[in-house]
Amino acid sequence: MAAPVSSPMKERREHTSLKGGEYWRGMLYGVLPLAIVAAIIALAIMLAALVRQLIGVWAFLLQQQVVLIILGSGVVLALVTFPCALILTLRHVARWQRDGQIERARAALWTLVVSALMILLPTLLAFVLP
Amino acid sequence: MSTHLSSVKTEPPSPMTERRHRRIRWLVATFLAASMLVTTAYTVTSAYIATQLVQRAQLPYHTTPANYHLTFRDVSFPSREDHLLLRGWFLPGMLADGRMTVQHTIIMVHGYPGNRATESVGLLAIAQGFVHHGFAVLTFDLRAAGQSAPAPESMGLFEQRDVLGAVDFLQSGPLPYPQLGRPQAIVGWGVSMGASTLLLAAAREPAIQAVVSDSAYGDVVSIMRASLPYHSHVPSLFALGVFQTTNAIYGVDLSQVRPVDVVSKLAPRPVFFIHCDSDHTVPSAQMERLAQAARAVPGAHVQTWLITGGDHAQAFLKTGDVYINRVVDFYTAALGAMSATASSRL
Repeated sequence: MAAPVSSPMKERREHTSLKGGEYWRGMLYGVLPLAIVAAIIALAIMLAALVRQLIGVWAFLLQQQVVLIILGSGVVLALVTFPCALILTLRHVARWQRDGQIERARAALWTLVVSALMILLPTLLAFVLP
Repeated sequence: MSTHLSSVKTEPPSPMTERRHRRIRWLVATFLAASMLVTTAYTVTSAYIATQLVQRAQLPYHTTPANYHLTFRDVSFPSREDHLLLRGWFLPGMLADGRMTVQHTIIMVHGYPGNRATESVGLLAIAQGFVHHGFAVLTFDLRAAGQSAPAPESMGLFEQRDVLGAVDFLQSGPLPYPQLGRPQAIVGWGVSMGASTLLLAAAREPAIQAVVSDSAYGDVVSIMRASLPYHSHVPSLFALGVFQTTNAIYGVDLSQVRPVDVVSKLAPRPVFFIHCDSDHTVPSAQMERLAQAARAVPGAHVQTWLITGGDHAQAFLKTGDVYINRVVDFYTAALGAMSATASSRL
């Protein structure tokens, strides 16, 4: 029984798809810290808006306290979760680098850099916009 | 296939490569953490300034119309739309023969921060001048001011509902001097934020037959952007963050506070703009913008008075009786010309 011989074209295609999968997996881990923070902040803002609607302006002081507690908790939760997610991603990156999964590690690191730029963007805009 | 899998998993990296990898990871982590810290610091500072701006302690008043030997009664009424409880004083006008009248009533709107008796602009002294010329006065605390209901301060965005509530009160509320009947003509006087609020309200409410706007801004965002370093001791680059967080936390979209966009709707009702030329809070260029916008439509009746030397909202303190006489002359001319249509509308 002769082993099936794969053509060079098929090999290249398999290699490319494998590489693509590696990138996607790396990006998925890279985007994790930003995604978690964005989800927490979005949830906090939506909850605050809901509370503002439910309580109404006639009980402004109560409304304000609740809104500030929700948003403050959101910020604290985001600030605690962010480093945890970042450490988790970097541990994976270190393992991939040790195992020679360089594409995956590189994709994760570049995604983290892009995340940093996205986080910085509002502040940069405030500096740049008139 | 097996060849590829073996090529993905390679030998462990050399110590030098590992050091390089560690350095790259450290750099990325530092960049990300720094970005997060900078943005968090910017957002939290902006939110703090927004809170200071929107939620202030309600200033108590230390004088009442009694200190000016004026007859008055306490009144309370709801704002239009959101029905917040507002408190104020109603002062009947005094005629030369000593009789009281409410025929022509002026709604007085205070500035920010302030209340119905703000002494720094001489609010009750101005009311006294109006009352002695036969005009009744309704002076009241806007929301989040004096004794009115707590609410977010919005530089006129929501406060215009308070002015509209005052109009409703004069038209159909329980007035404290029922024997004097109801006002036949309602006019408005406002100072600073009160003036801008009055312009926004008058654009929506034709029952306000004439407006005196003292030290108004036409566009609050440009004023606040310029005054942020002075009032909040932070660079003006925080303005964008402050406006965004004010909207996100309090639902106050300050970019909508633009009397300059609606002032033309007051025509043909007369408008009198007053401003001091040394105003450091709201530059007198704002009055020029407002007057220009008000004159942009046919049939507009717009007067302006630029006072030399005074700072923000100091026009009355700078000119005294001249101020009262010019404003009273303006109202008299406005109501004299419009009395026939006014009585049918009210």
